[in-house]
Amino acid sequence: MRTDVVFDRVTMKYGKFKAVDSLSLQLNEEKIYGLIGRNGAGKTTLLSLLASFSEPTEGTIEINGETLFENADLMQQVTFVYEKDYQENTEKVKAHLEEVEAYKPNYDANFAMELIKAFNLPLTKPVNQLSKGMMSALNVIIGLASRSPITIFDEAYSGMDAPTREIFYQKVIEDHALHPRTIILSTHLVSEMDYLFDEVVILHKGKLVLKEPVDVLLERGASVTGAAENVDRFVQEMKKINTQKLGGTKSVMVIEQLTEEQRLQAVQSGLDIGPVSLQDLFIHLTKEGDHDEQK
Amino acid sequence: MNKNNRNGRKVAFDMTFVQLGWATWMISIGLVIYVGIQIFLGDKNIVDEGFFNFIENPYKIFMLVVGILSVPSFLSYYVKLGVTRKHYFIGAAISSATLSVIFMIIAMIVGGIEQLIAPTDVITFLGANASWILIFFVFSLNIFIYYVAGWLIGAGYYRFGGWGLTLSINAALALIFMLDLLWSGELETPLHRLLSIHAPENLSLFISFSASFLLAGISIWAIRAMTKRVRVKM
Repeated sequence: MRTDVVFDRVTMKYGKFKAVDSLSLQLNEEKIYGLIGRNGAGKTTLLSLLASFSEPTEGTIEINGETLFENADLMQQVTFVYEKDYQENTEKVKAHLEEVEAYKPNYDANFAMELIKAFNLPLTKPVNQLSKGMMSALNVIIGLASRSPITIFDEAYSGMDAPTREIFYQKVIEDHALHPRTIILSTHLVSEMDYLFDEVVILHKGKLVLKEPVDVLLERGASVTGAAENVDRFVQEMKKINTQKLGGTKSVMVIEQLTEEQRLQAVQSGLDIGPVSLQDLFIHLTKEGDHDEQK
Repeated sequence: MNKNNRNGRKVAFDMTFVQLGWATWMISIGLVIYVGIQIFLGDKNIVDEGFFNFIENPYKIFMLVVGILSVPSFLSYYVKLGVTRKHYFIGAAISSATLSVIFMIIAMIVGGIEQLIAPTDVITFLGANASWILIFFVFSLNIFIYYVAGWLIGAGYYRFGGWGLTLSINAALALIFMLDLLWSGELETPLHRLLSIHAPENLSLFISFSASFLLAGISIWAIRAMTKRVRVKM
């Protein structure tokens, strides 16, 4: 089922603090979105609004043209996975999963069992006695097996060790291919997860910085390295996001889709053109101080 | 679509089941103490008063506590599962009413067995000759309103924090105080006298029932108003 999620000038205030500030965003394809932003950028607030944990202070959130908040049909299509506190939950893992199943219309119990085996999750252990890694595993199992048209993972994997996270990434890719749906992965482990994303949404201080397909985004940027003078001349008219200088050599990261002509010109000037990583783009786009002023 | 519309009922069923699980402990322990007192202490007063009078207060305290937990634990739990606040509210209201009735059915069964073993005149605050049906309804209603009082406290705290707690505890106390005025002392309270001077007892009952429903209605409305758009804490 296709789901169009439209945030229209959404603001969320806590007292006077604007956690999300007049943000407009559309997620209109069954893609894997990477939501990245620094601590306090408003990621979790934005996602909790999508999970109907609260109503936006201003603006609207609609799914398929209908207001999301308190809409029974739509709320059931969203699963929000985050690092939940299970300290008071004394029931066994199996019973907990059965309760979830009762309220998730697309829940696949067989797939859940497959995941339980993959993550080595003990079914008979009380939930509050699970290790941190196992709690994370339980969370992502619920997220994946629910097969909700909108599935959100908000740093739900930070309790897992690297090999377990790798299993999770594989399962996300495999299951998304079989059952396309909108998956939002919020993270600051950008370099580790960037290959999962179809599109990237970057937030900074409650505002949307950009939303673009990963390949388009990376194509838009380039690193230009060479003799300082030549580099400066080459990038003069471009949007610069980072500059590093070592002796007479300079490396400038630009947001600019270079034309063939420009590439040729660069080679002629003895400059190296390299790609930018998502991580670099993220760091520089969300750096303190206004990056727009660098142009 | 249909599946979603059943969510209110599903919540009602699940909540009833979970809370009944908790209540099993309370009722079992109550029963053991009640029987124990009779066997070991041979306390004649308690036997005369019957199981109803004995279990009434444990029931009320249980409902008050479970009511306080309702919003912080169940509302939060269900919204996180994608259930609307409205369906939680419907479910919680139905389950608490169901629980009140089930509690009284259990008390009636125990009371009935008691009558078979050693018939006595069951005397409740409704008078010596009150019918079992009347006792059933009045006790169920009273137990239910204790849940509502707890529910009000939990909702006020969850929605408004400390100030909400202060206000809602006072509101809940007022509710319970009014309930006591309406239903205690063999319907001979000053409030009754004020409301039904020289009125026959039927009118008095009518007033008690209407006033109780009205108070419960206002409280439930306040709970819904506080939780309708409440932010669920992560």
